[in-house]
Amino acid sequence: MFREILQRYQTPALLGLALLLPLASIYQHGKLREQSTPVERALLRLTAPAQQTMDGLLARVVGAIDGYVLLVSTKEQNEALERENRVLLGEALRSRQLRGELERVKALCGFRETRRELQTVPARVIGRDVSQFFRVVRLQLDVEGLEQVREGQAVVTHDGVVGRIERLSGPWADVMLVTDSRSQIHATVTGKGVVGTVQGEGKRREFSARFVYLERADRRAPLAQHDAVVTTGHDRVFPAGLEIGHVAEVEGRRDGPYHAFTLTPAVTAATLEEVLIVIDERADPAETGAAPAPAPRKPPRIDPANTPDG
Amino acid sequence: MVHLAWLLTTFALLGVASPLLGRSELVFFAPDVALLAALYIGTASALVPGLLTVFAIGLLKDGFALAAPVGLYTEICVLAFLLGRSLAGRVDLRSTVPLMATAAAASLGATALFIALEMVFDRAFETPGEAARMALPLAMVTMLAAPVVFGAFDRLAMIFDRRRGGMRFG
Repeated sequence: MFREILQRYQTPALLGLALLLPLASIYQHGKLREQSTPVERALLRLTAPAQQTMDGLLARVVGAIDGYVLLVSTKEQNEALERENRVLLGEALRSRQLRGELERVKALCGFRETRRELQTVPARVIGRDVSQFFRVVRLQLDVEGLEQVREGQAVVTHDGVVGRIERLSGPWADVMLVTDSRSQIHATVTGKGVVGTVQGEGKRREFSARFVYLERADRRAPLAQHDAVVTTGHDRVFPAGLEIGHVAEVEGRRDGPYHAFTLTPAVTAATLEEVLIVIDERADPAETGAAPAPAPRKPPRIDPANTPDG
Repeated sequence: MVHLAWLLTTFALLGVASPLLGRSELVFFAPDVALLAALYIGTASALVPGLLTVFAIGLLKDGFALAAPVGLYTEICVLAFLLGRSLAGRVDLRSTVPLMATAAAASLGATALFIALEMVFDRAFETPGEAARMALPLAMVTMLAAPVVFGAFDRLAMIFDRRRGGMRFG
């Protein structure tokens, strides 16, 4: 009988429980209270891990979307920035070139100011013969409009001697460098009282010249490394007091009564952009109101007894 | 077995909905998946297992929404289950339009019931106006989600109970 009653009222009882239990729970949990109930804690334990897991998965998905899918616009921005960067790099390079040119011109102007006894005209280097080892063996200048330029005139910069005009051809001039094997310049070593001749070695692999002087019987080789070698002006091509180079090696070669030392030219022709061509040299610097030349550029004191000519 | 699949699917959907909508700041416009599940189970399941499943789904929803008193969503889900059972022979829930209309009406009714139960039982409930304003948007979202949820549950039913066959929704 009990079973029959149970079977008859099973569905209504179940439905009643399903509807009344939640209502009882709502009533119980709707009260104002300070602590969570065991049911709430159990539900929280059940749902919180799921939410945490899903949140972690979503964070990864969102991160992937941010990191990869949205990088499409980043690529375009990157390309735009690269273009802008190239433009800015070009402008920066141009700025550096202009600054370098300005500094060179200022140096040349300074040289002209200190050597006002020299009449010089500026010329731009337009070409170089470069060997396979990147050593400049000849320069070509643009001398268009420079009527005073003649063959054999000295070519200098504020650093020192470059060479001489070897050949004029229309608006261009070829320069024979001091390192050319045909080049000879009368020179002296500053403060050592000896004179000699700087001869180019003409070597393609070396950028140097030789300084030859006659050794007196009572004097040992007076040269030291880095001694400056300057022009004497005796060859009537190069004005006196222009630096040609400096002694690269103290150990010289003996050639009869002469000593030969390897020199390093004062001017690096490979990087020259502008030069000065000496078209005339006034006899008296005082007439021009020129300032005295700087110490290394002063005409050297020459001991005639110590020249190659004796 | 299929009831367990429905339960787990609902659990997964509720678990995804919370952080997903929280991230997209659309938490108030989440479709009422538990309500739709209860409706579907009411139309597709026997009474006892369906009622137990829906009861569990309601409890899960209570667990994901602990701001409301525990049992509130369980009550709503049980009533939605009974609604689904009563509509099963009267409304063609295999078609999209009747289904969406039923889902929207159920959602509006659920919101009304929510407000009523909250006002009666929850002494901390102070925003019935806010809940009422959310009723229509929530009904719209739930209506749009109804075909998707019913389709997914029907697919599960077919997978787990091929002999009996599902509703073959859509």
